[in-house]
Amino acid sequence: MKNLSTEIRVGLLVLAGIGSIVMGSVAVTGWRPGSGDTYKVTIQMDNASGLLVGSPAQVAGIKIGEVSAIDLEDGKAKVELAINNRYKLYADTMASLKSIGILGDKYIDVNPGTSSQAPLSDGGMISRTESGSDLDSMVGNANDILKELKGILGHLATFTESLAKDGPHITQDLRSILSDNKDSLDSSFKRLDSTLGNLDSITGKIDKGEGSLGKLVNDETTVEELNNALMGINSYLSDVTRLKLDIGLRAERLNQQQTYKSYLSFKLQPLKERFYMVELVDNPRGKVSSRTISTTTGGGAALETKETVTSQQMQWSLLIGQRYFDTLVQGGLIENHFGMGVNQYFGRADKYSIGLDVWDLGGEFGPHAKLSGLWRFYSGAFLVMGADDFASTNPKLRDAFFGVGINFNEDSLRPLFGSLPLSTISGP
Amino acid sequence: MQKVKQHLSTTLPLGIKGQVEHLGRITLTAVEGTGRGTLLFVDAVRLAFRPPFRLHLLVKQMEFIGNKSLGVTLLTGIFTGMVMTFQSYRSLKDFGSESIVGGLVAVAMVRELGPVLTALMVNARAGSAVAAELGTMRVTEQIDALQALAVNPVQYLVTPRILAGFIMVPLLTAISDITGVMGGYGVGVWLLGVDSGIFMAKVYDFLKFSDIMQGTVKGAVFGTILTLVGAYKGYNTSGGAEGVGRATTEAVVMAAILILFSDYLITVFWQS
Repeated sequence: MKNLSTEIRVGLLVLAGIGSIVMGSVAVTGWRPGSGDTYKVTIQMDNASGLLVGSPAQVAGIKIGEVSAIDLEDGKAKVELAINNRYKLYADTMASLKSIGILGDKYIDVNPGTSSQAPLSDGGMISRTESGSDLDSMVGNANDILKELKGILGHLATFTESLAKDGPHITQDLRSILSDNKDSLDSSFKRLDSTLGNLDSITGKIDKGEGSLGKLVNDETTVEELNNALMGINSYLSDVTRLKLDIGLRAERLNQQQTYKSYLSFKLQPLKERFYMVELVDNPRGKVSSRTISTTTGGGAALETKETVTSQQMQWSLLIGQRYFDTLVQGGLIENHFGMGVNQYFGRADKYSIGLDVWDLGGEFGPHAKLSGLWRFYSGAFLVMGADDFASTNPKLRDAFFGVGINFNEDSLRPLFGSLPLSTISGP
Repeated sequence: MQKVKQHLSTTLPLGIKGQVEHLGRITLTAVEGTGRGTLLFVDAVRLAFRPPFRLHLLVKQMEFIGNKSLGVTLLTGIFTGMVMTFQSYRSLKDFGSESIVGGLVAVAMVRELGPVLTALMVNARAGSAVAAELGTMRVTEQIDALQALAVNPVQYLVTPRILAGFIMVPLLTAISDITGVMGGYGVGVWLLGVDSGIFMAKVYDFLKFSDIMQGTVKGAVFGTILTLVGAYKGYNTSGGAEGVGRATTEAVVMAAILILFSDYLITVFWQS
């Protein structure tokens, strides 16, 4: 080195320095297939977040080109790819946005399509895109779920609030009613025994297809026709509103009166826990009042007899019900009189329930109270029994009853029309 | 006792008025220094385009600033690259991404560490020498002698040094970058077991052309700064041998501060 002149030594260093810069620049820029022989294809994507100019395009993990431009067109991302001439893409090419690792950079994953299709030329367009199942969409899904969860929690909060407010009153009322009527309850339960015996014969009759209820239960065509009609009503209603309709038929045998009481009810449910019910009651007992009849016998002495008179055989019930967890409170018009009731459900799918209804508070023989137990042995059918008018001051009116009922709603239609999509019946 | 009193009287503040005056004097000196330094720089650049062109002086300075600093620059580069690889490998391993260590070291070297460390090393070696040389010439009245010979001392002494710094520091930076990446490669691949292909692929992947440009521009700016500050401090030396020593120290410290400050500015403006 000593014999080299200063100029040569400086020159060598300058050349080495410039060489380093040039070498580095060439290595950094010339490495990419983006420069040189490429052809351009464009993709329309819904989402190009995280994609940069220079992001790679890969086929099966091999880099075939890079993103040369990103632009917005008609609200969609227009991504232009510069693909190396060595690689061919075909008309059915599919492109999707993916990321390397969970925090990694974004790249375009290209499925080059099938070679039987025409190859894409410069300026071609990849029409098929696919949104990859990457972190973004996962987070998006989780977001939707959280939103729904928030709504549910909101409902729950108002729900528990109203329960905390009303719950104690309900149980207190129930308790006082039960203790007030302990005696009459006892006598009613005694009669229940004999009622059970009669139940056998009734269910037997229904089984054999006797009577209209028996026909309804046993005759396939009747059921089908009824269901078709209900489906029509239901779909019409669901088109207008999203109310759920529940139609119920019920017959009760009043043990002492030896009569049958029938109910036809239409229950509208705008919310899961609320209903409005219109019920038509064919009540042979009707409104009971007493009148005094004076008959004059031959002896001239007037004999006064007191007899009970029934009137108003057709009666209406108009009820609004609200349910708190397993407790249902209903109120309104019960058999033409104002009244209210409480129902407690037990078991899965409300299989059992006990209910107490009180109405006609100003009646001649005191309020009409009815205690009933219900067993829903099948989703669309139930048995019911209990004590009717057990608080009456007139012992003749105290009665035990039993009965059967069927009701039609979405749940009961499902087993009958298992293969039918229910959305056509009840709407979305 | 007498001595202590005397000492106190010279070091104790001279009252509020005196303090304000002192502050004002410091500010004025700083502003004046900035102005004179800038004027010197403008002068030197202007005179670079005026004959006579003394090429042999430039070559001599390039050899002094460039060739003589090459060894220390290579050592700085290679060790910095090795240390960077070691340190970042440990952190990256926690994230399971130790394969990108090559890219990380390359980007850090080319953008920041290469230019800054090279400039600081050259400043310590050559910047101080420039200040000492010109300072000695000033206090021994050689500069006055040049003037008497109708030779512009700025053109004769300052211009070739600033030009040499402007040319040589970016070149040294480039060489330092490459040795740094080589040092990192050695540690990463042979010692830590990173795949050699992945190491280099990440270097090419992470580095962009603008990074190399940024490093080169920084080198040129730093080279200009360190020679200018050295020349300015030496050119304005006063106070004999003690003054020369003071000028040298001040030149090195001020040039180092200005290099780091301008590094920040260039980085900020480069990003935006």
